[in-house]
Amino acid sequence: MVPKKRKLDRRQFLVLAGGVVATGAMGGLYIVSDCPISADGICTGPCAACYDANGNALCDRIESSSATTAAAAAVATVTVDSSFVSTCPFGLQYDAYPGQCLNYVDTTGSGYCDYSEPAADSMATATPDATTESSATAEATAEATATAAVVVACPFGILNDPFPGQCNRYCDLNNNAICDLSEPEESSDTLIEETATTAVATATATAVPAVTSDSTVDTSVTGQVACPKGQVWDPYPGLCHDYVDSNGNGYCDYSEPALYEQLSSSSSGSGRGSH
Amino acid sequence: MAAKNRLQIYRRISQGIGLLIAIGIGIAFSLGLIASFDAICAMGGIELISTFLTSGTVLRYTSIINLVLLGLVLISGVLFGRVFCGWFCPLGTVQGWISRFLRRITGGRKHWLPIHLPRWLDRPMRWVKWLVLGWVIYASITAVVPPLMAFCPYRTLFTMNVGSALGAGVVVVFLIWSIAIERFWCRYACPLGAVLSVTNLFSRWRIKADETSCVSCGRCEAICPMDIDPSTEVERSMECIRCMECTGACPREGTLCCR
Repeated sequence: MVPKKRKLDRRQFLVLAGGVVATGAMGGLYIVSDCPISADGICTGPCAACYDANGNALCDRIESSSATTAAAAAVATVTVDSSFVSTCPFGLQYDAYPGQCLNYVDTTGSGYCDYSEPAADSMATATPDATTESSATAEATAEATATAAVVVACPFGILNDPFPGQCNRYCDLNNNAICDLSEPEESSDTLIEETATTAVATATATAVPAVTSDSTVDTSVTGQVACPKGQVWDPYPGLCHDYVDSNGNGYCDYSEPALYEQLSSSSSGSGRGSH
Repeated sequence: MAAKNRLQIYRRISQGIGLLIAIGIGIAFSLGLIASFDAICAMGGIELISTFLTSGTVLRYTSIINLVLLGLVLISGVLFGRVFCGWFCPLGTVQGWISRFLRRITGGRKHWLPIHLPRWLDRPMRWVKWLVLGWVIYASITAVVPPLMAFCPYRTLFTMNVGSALGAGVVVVFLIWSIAIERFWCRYACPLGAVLSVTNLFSRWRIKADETSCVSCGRCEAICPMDIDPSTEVERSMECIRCMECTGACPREGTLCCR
């Protein structure tokens, strides 16, 4: 029976106190624990367990993992330019194979993720070099100068992330081949402040061709495409949630053979194997 | 009385099936046979919708299965209220078993574990699950992976993801509180329970109490896993999980019944 007037006896009080202590201890574990999501210490991306006490935009759990230690040892063997700013969303420099996140890509064959190598190099390989009919505003926006505190909406804190973007949230409503979320904005409550080794010094992204509305698209062209689902000329709204149409021709950029050829020939490989 | 006992047998079978499915999914995930444990969770549907509506993208590890499961759970909620919590949820089953065991070893009817918290403490704490739900929705907007993933006892328990200290901590804390308070997670912290509790307000099928024939013996209140007083508040309660324990315990035929 439940007594009308419920009171806790000593035993019950002790059990509840134990629960409170255990919960408090878990709060402590939250700080010192390894990553609870990834057992191998490879970050799957910003999550609710992200703990960044030193404010370097990199989860401290991943920083202290053995994978990072190995990466740090590898870094020691290369000359690190202290002024270099990587385009890695986690702020890593010289992230050794297999990389600490799922976005590892090494088109240069250096053994380090392109995103974590000096910006100039990685940009050269990861950025599309399609210069035809680029919009005039693209370069002006892309050539952003690093500032001490640049405010961007990107959840990874990336500044001026060029096409095709480093995550699947790439969106480009103003057609300048830079992810809108990563473009600096003046003031907004929802924006986050990028504090990691500041911004990209000069993002040299050049716009993907801005096709005019009256342009005709020859969809009979076939060939290799960047789409991981193998779709060729995938029309709006696309077969998956990664639909991107930066050239405004009504087809997902990843499914356009012409664009793939263009990127392959100009940059000897895209920055991301998949999107 | 036999019909009431038969209902509890059906419930045990249903809970057993839910538990076996969860264990099977956990083992399959651990063996690498399925890519994502989080894709097979109704709560993932809420996280997925939150992200999709605000940014047009989806969270990693989630899929259309999340939406299908959420849809099924909500349909069951519209028809029967929080019947998913009482009849199928594997986490609820584990908590229920712990409590049943503790009742037996700590004195039967006069058990001291699990604890019946004083009302002044119990009632306000039930709103915490709404805060958890709000946090999950808010965090889903900017997250790349499901925000509850790191702290979810369901995921941690059934994947045995205790390799990290935080994972082990989640399991330990969950078990301690389950020992202290019956269905602690369901009452105070489950965000899916918060969503389903709304369906209790307009579900077609619910438990009703006839106050004129009630003798206020208190048996229903003593046995209720959600610590509500069925004789007075079961009809309108958002906490009732339709476990039917109260109807089985009621000594007067027809005082507590489903309509």
